[in-house]
Amino acid sequence: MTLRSTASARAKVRIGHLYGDLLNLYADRGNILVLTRRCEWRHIAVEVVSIGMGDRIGSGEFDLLFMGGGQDGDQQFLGDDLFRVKADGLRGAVNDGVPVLAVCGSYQLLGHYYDPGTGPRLAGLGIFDMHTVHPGRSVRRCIGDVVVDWIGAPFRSPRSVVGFENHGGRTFIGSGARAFGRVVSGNGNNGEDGTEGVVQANAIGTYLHGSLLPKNPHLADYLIGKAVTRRTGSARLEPLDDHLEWQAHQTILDRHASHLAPVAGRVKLPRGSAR
Amino acid sequence: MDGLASVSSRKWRTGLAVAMGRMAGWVSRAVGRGGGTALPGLVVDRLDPGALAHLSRQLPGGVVMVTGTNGKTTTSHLIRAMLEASGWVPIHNASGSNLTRGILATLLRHASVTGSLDVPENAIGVFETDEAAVPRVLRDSRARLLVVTNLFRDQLDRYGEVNAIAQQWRDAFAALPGSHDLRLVLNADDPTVSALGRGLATTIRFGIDDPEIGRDAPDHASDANLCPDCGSRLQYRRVTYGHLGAYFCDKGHARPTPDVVADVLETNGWDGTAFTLKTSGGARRISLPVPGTYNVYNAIAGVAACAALGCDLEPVASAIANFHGVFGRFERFTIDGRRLVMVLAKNPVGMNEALRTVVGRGGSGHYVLVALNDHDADGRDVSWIWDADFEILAGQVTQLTISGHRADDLAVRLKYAGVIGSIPSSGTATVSADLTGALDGAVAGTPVGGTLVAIVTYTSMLEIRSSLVRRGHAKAYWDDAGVNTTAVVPR
Repeated sequence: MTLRSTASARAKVRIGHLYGDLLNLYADRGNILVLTRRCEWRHIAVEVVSIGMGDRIGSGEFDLLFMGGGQDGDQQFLGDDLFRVKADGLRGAVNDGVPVLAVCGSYQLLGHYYDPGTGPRLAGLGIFDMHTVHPGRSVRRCIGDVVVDWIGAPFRSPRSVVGFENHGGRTFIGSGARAFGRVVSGNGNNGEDGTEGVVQANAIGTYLHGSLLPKNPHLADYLIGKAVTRRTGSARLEPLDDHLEWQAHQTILDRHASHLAPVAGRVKLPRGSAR
Repeated sequence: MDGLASVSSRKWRTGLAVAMGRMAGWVSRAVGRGGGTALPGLVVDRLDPGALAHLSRQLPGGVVMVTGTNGKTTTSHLIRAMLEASGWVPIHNASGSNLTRGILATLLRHASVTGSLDVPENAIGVFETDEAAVPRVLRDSRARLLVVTNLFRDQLDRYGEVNAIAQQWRDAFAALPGSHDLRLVLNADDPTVSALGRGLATTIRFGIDDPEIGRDAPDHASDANLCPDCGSRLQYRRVTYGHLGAYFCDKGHARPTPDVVADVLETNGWDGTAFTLKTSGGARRISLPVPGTYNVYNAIAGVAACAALGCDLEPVASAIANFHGVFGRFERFTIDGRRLVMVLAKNPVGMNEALRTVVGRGGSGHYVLVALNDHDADGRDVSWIWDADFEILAGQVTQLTISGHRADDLAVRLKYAGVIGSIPSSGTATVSADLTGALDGAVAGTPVGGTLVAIVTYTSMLEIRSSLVRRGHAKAYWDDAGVNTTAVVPR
């Protein structure tokens, strides 16, 4: 009996989607869709739970947490709930090693503070050792494709991660934090120090959308692997046919980082779906 | 400085700029760089930043601006047709070149080298205006009417979020001089748009009232979550599409009653939609020969604008009945015995409505081509495809052709939407970045007498269209000035 079928027999991976109805600005649904489909294709039972206003994050309740970005007004709307209702549960989950993916706006919210440049600093949850400063409207936003070298990529996994960034704020990570990746092309955290995102325990904060996970199946499986391990004690994920995903990944590499080794050969459509 | 001297130097400056702009247009056409729908305007704007104000304020009927995320081009074409039927002579940037430079280029065709505008006494400006260009065009043209179709997320890399655009517009309204008498024509069903008219007595609103149309909840990627009046959560009694509908909040704020209403909608496949038009002047049944619920919104936006201008309903209604759409928007072609329907879709809400229109025709086994480009005019960020509900196509498609510069991204999206996996073993799915080749293959695979639907982003639409024109399957689209717009990539 394989580990996979053991896992499927008794595990139901629970993915918590924080404020899914408000923080959905940059196609964050793509990330959730990729996580669930890649579980389903492996017969890993999976459930996505929307964590809305007023909902608490109980200890051990979720195997994976996802947060996206929202419009400014929507993000301010949830500020109070984030501090009063979510903060403890979210901090506990990160300390407990729950894999977390926070993209763009929510990445900023999880730092120490956000300095809008005009007016007072907005406090963040301080889960990530980092802060963000907006240099003012006259300074160019960071917009465009990004290629990063994923510092914590698992052994034998491709190391490139591709995405699209669109942020005005510049993020600086503290001495207690590790970057998620080194920028190969694009701006990343601040366009100065070559870092992109942050990693704390199994939590990843990043500016990359695109959506992020569809074109980075290795990162999606890294998160799924962590989640399944939490639920079942171990996980060996069955490989999937990721031809299309890697083709889309390669297209971005070809545009911006053609010096990087190709992640996969030129590819064909999966068998059975193309003629 | 005395007034006369400044007026005459103003004329001279604009006149010189007009001459240089004209020359730029000739050169552009002579070297085959397209129709010059933007370049002459760009030249004029650089040489004389006051030219837009100077020229547009000479329009005897004033200026009507049309803006919003979706439906700008169609709505401005409808308004143009309605005004023509009502005896006006519209000066209209018909090609959809809707930045300041495109509007200037349109004016330029009627301008003399002395800086004066040579138009009849019943001329009126109809300016389709890009969202970001609204403050400048509004201030300079002193537009008497601003029509806003809707506000959805679109090209976040270029415009920013919806609330930021609305705020820019409110700032622009606040900065207008007291002498500028502006009326707003607003979509009552869009919370953000409707709130633009808060406190303005002269605002005219339009909306759809049919309880049979639409759904219970907004689309996944709603851009209007919060009440614009008090910031509490919005709820909906009914959603027509996107986040448009009958909304209300706990604090008692709600969609205002529209002045111009479409009710009892009856869809008629590719042939359009019939609806009952209700205004203060009574109710009448109208057949709009272009499909899609959003085109009903475009039609009533036009009616509301014409009502604000004091037009009679009779010619306006007949203009709707005779309207046959704008190039690339449900445009139909015949190629080797197959019908090709081209549908422009450039953001999640537009895509959802395009997909629903394809599937809503009934049956399954559709022949579909989807193309995604990421030029500046399409938006460089393609993540929006994950906000669009491609799941609508699952189980509905026999032949799927995926193309455009970002065909690979689209293929991944269609895989995760379950569309590629749902194609029967007798069908096909192909991915090819080469759009012309992909189109040829898709046409060849469609049975004679069948219909191929091409759902395409902006520049892929232009690309397909010029390929069809080149091979004689379509006529070039010529605008007022005899400019072939198929060769033009605006912005």
